[in-house]
Amino acid sequence: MKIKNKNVGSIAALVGLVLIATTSCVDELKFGNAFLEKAPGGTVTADTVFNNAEYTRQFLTTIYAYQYYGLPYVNDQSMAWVNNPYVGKFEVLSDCWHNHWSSTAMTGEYYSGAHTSGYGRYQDKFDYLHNKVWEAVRASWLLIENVDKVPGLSDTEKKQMKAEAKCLIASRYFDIFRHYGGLPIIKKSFSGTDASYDLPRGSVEETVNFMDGLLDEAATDLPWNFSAADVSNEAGHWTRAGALGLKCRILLFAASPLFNDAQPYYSGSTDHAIWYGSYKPELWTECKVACEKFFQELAANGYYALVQATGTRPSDYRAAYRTAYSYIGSTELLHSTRVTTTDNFTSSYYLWHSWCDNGRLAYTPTQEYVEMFPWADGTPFDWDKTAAAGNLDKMFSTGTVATAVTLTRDPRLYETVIVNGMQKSLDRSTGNMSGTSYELWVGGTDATTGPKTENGYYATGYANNKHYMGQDMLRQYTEWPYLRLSEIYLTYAEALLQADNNLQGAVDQVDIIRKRVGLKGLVACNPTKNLTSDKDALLNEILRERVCELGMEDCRFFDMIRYKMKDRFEKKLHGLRIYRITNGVRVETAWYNGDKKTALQPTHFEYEKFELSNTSRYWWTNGFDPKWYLSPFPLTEVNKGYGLTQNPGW
Amino acid sequence: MKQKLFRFHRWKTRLLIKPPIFLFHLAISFILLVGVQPALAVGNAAQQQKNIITGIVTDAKGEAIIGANVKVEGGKNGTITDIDGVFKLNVPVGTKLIVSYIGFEAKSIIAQNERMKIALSENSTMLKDVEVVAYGAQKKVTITGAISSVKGNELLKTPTGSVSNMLSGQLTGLTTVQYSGEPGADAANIFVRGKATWTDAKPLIQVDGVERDFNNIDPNEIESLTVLKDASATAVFGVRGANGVILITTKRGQEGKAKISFTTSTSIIAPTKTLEFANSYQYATFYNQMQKSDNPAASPMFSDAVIQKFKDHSDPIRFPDTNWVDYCLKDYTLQTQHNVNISGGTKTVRYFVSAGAYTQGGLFKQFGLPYDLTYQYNRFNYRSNLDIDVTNTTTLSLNLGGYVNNSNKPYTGQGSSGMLKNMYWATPFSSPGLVNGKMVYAATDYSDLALPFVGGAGMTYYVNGFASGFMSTSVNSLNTDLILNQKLDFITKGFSAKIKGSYNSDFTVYKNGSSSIATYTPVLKSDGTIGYRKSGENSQIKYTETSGKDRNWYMEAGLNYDRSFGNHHFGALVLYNQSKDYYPETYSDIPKGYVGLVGRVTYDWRSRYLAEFNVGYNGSENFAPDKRFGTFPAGSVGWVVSEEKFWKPIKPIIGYMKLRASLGLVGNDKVGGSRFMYTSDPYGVNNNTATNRLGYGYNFGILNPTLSLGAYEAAKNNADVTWEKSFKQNYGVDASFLNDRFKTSFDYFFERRKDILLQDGTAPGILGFTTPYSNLGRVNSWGWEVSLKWNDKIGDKFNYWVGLNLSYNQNKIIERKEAPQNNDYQYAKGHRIGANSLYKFWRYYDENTPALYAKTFGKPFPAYTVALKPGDCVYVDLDGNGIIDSNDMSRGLGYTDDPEYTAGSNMGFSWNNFDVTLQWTAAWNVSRVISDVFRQPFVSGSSSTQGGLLLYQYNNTWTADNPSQDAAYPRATWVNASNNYAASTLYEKNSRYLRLKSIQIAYNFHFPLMLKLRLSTCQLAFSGYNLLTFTGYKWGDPESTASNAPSYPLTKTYSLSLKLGF
Repeated sequence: MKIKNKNVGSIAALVGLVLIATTSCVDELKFGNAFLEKAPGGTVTADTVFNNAEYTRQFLTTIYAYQYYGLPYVNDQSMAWVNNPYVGKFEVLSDCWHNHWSSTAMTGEYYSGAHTSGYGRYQDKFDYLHNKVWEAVRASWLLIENVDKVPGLSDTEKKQMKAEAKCLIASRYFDIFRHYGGLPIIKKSFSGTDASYDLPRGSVEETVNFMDGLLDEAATDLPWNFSAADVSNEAGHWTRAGALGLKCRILLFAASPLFNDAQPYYSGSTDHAIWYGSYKPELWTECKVACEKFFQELAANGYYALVQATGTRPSDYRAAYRTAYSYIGSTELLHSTRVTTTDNFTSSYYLWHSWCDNGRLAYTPTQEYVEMFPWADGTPFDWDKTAAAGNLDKMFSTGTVATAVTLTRDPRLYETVIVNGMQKSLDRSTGNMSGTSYELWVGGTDATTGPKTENGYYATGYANNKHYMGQDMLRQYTEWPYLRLSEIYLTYAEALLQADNNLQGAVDQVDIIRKRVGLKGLVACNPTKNLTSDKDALLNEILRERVCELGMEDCRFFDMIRYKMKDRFEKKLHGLRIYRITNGVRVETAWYNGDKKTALQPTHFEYEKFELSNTSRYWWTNGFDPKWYLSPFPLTEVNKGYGLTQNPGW
Repeated sequence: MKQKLFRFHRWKTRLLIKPPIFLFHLAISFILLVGVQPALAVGNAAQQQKNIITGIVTDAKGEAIIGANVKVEGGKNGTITDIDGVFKLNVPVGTKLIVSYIGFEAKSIIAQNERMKIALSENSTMLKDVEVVAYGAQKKVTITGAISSVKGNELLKTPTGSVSNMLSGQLTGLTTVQYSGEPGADAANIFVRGKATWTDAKPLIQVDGVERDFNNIDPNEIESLTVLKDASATAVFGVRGANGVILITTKRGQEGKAKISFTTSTSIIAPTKTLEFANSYQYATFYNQMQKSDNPAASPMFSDAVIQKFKDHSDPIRFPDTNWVDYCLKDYTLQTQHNVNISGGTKTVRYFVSAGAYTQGGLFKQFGLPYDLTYQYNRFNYRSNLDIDVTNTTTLSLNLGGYVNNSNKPYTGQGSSGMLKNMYWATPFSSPGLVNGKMVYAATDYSDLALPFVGGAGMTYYVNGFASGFMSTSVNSLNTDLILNQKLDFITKGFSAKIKGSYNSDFTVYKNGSSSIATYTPVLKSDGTIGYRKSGENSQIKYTETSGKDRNWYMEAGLNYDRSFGNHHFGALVLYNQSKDYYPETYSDIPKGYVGLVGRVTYDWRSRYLAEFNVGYNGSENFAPDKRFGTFPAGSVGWVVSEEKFWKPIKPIIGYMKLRASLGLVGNDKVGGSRFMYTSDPYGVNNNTATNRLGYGYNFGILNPTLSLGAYEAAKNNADVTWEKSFKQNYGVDASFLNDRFKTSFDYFFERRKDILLQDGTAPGILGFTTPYSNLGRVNSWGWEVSLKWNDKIGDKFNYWVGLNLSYNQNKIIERKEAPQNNDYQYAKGHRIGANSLYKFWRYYDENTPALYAKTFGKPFPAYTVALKPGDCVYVDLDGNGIIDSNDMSRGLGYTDDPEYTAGSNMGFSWNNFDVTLQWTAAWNVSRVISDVFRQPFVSGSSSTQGGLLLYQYNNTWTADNPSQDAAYPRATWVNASNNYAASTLYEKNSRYLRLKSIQIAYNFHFPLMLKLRLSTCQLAFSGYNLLTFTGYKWGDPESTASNAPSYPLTKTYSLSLKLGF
């Protein structure tokens, strides 16, 4: 055989050329398995995190990021769905707000009565699986299970981290408990390789005890508050005040008739996962004791206090109230949660503000709600009497921008509801109001045709102002007031009333809250209601006070289910159409964007209450099925057979 | 020495390729005994008195033909040639002998005394035909796998820019779905034999043997396109072959004089179908009617005065009536395509050089803006394929190809579907459009008579929220291959080696220009004229520029063996390859790599008994080292029955018939999920993103801008993840009848796909992590394909052909590990991939419905969550529990987005200088579920009360005045919207179609001047694309989508082209 050496040489050269050309001095040349070795990168594992003090602290930080935030602000399915604007905020299921953007679960699933246990994405008000609850629980247990082996952390810090993790578990459990009742109780992290799972649903009692127990354990290892030096960096971490306060809230919920009654909320059900099984008066006592413990600690340790006004004008009280719930450094916040620094509302990263502005998050207050707010001195507002006296034009304010606007109602109304004639801006530190005033009449600059067509941000003739505050929130730090001191006063009042029938004691607690906004005492303002002897009347006042104080703070809907207010759910709600009157006739024109040059700011209007019809609620015409008190578990989750029982009626 | 080598080789083969091939050998030995021995025996018996004649049989190039038949004409005496092509035969001089060999024209000679030299020439085209297969080419006649192919010239008859759209209906086993007609992004989704997995079911596409995008190739560069369908054809691709493989081969030069081909075409493009929307008057009246049907007491949204304005168009600026589709879209746009290519070669150097330009206009109007936002797309392609015979045995090939493209679109941040949906969501009275160059929006604050609301306008691409502007993308892509072929005949004959290296790089520049545009609202002045209130300002265009890059290389080295010994023909291939992609989509910083080994052995006996064995052994870095490499074997056999003796009587009718069968294992590693799912659970640390930006950090403190960093468990991994495995079987018949005038081919296939990656949905949802991906899914798929072709002449000048191909694919999910449901019909399992979950619509409600329901279904009328009014949708209570809820939604109803049946018909004739071809395609058992504004009136992205209204819906809705059970839409309602607009079979619309995909009428000129100009061809052709569509589907083109992501209109093309050849 002849082999041409010349050929071999040229072949070899060409082979070399081809190889070099392709692999082109970028890589070391590898073949076979070596070629497939994964390049370094992305190799942080559990061992990395729990062998490093800093990473372990970061791990705890992220559990905080899994906490509940009460406003829709992000449209991304990887985030908690309760925060998705297409779900909508469940407070609009109560009698105080109505949802006017139709593309939400609130309208599509709840108002239409179409909701079922077969729900899909963005269809439940608090989706059982997609609200970071279980992620937070898992991460917290991972932390508790692993923190002891982390080098470089002091025992004190480890203890405190574990205590915080327990608060996080308890708070996440309560966030979902109030929608679903008893829950599977998870006491460890899962490996992911378990062959099968047995996670039976706990009873209401077991679930409450689980949360309560975690908070008790945590309270001993947490500081009451952060020192002046630490608070500016540490606020937002769980504290003893937060843990004990949350305990009050949980026990109030547990003691309420929804779970604690002679009859279950859904007749025929015997499942203790939705009910204590009988009325247990001691539950109210437990709640009262928890409140007492809280106030003893508060007296001993101080720091938390209601924010007080610096003047006596209604707008001064309003400013104090604004500070109390919205200022990130408020001394009233027992616990707050955060998702961003400031409300830079032109950006798409905090939809709460931008989608309020574009009318999608139109959680419009109802006429019923607005009428719950008393006059500025605390005396109750009565539409018929006011109308008869010809004072409807004074029911929101008197005066004009040119002559100065005076607020005539409970100062909290203006923080909670945007009403006609109110100025757009309030300086929180001085209590001074400024800016143009809202024109909410039909054809007005702000409302335009909204109240007439029942559309958009002003669909009921009102708009929501709570957590919104228009331009005033621009570049202000945001937070969700997860738990506020004023709620504990009101909880204490309710517990005193229910546990001990202590009416005067309850009135005293409520008056603390009223005094802060310049309202006179309950008894003085309601001489005909026998509030020191009529328990039901006082309970109604406490609940009314709660929704005035805690509007849009996840209070009203839960109050309505706690007390099984079927009748309130079935009551049709109303908006207010305001008509501008010129020369005795209605004109649907704007003033600021209209005839401001030739006319004075209008102060006289005609008022017309109208029944809400966009969209009407299924319960209004078909009755309220008690099944709606608790949410349905996803059918598929029940079907998995690991021990979850469905709530009755679903 | 040669004899020895032969024996040595046989022995080696036997040793190397163990049981299967050994069995073949046995079988073949048997056939030899039965078939050849008797012939020889007969020869021996008649030995006396005859001379020994010798000769040598060669092919046209003088290469010896081994095993050629030499027989006495009309007699039984005969022999075959030996390894040197030599035969000896005892016959008298002067005897007439017939020399024949499969694939060659038989030759008759007179026996002579001296040593004869007989050169055979290759015969029928069928036997000459070569098919491109994986890593090489094979004679068509010896192929045993399921392969279909089309020549580049056939594709060129369809005047469109992307190759994928030329394929529809051309080949069996190929399903194409073209959702969008967007210039530069109109490529069809392609599936080979339907879907067999719910993960990535896209086939592997290679251009000149390297994975590359083929939609940007100039169709003029394509020599052929081959689809590999069964295991036998794709096993060598191992983990990448299960979804089928499409091979594109570019043209190469042939030895000879330079041939210059020049083509140019200009086309008019128009949408196949545009949607019609209600005008302002229709909108308002429908709105009021809908309001009234929900609440008879409601005061109408649109007052009579406003409706009158809409009706008489007396105030067109303040009360406009704009047809946005007409206003924004052009009626047609232009497309041009030019190509010049030169090919030819000398004995040692052959070349093909091509340059092409393609431009496609967009359908959106420009409205005089200073930048281009019409969806203009331009592309320039170039290619140079060079083959150099460096020595007698060495060929070096260099391929250089690439393109530069440029597309301009509006700056909307939501692509073309965003622009379209804004048009569809718009109200006709939202804006009169541009008035004297001013962008005017109607308003609700007119002092005399106000619009109740404005809604969205359709020109969002002109003024998009805060900004408008354009986006221009230009891509510069370069592909190079360097291939070295070395014949190694000095080791053993038929032995060769091949080395190939390829390098591909893309560089993309994205340029955005944004500006803001002032808008105006009309104001009625006291004198009755209209003034304008301005908001915003026109601003200068701000430019931003970003770039993207991609780079990958591929190399292979292989040894090839191809040789005949007598009637035995052997082929073998061993090849190693590896590739690296530098900026993959996930973990773009970590390059992605593949390594593979390919083996193939083919054998045939006289091209009659065929056998082939393929094996792919390859690895993917996506899996753990012990799960990384897999072996994928496949075998196939074929039998050309028509070559058998017993076939002789039928041969005049059925001239050719081949039976084929293949089975084997192939893999798919495009399994979705993330890369590196095998590593330990990844955690993220130092995350510095706040929750509102989807991060894991947290803001502690008071007025504290510093974000605390976060750490988190990023995923749960599974060390055991691996690729999908596909076990495929294929059975086929190829036949030709009546002297090749009628040809047909039939294939049946069955595939079991297992180890499909999924996340176990049966685990509790409260574990706190997403269950890791594991290989638990299973799908069965099956189907058949048939192709028929008739080709004949009438007289000398009229040649005509009709071809039909028909493919059917079906699949069924066997295991999906879904979360438990109440009823079997709710699962994807048991149904076709992509089956929709739908209510079963029965009829529109009327007072008789409950009784009729009870009568029809034997069950009481079910309860609804809404109070039904006449005209509302009534569904079937599938689970019979008396309540209509999501448990009544079934996946067993209707069809899917990808058709079960696709058919194509290619027909044409040539007569004198005319060539006419028509290409029809059809698809059926396919549907679209219409949604969004196509389903529900007045829906938009932000509202369900102020969006758009289809004219079709306006005309075909159930109303109290026209309470028809045949209405296309139920009573229009907001109150019962959750019932009437639920996903049901009412909105699952049959989207079957038959369309004239392309037509070409060409005239070939022959005038005397051509000779002077040395013009060999001069052809003028008219061609069309998507010219006719027959369908019952009304929501746009039947292939497009009618959802909240509507697609850019599909287009039809009228084209005039000139082709010159020198």
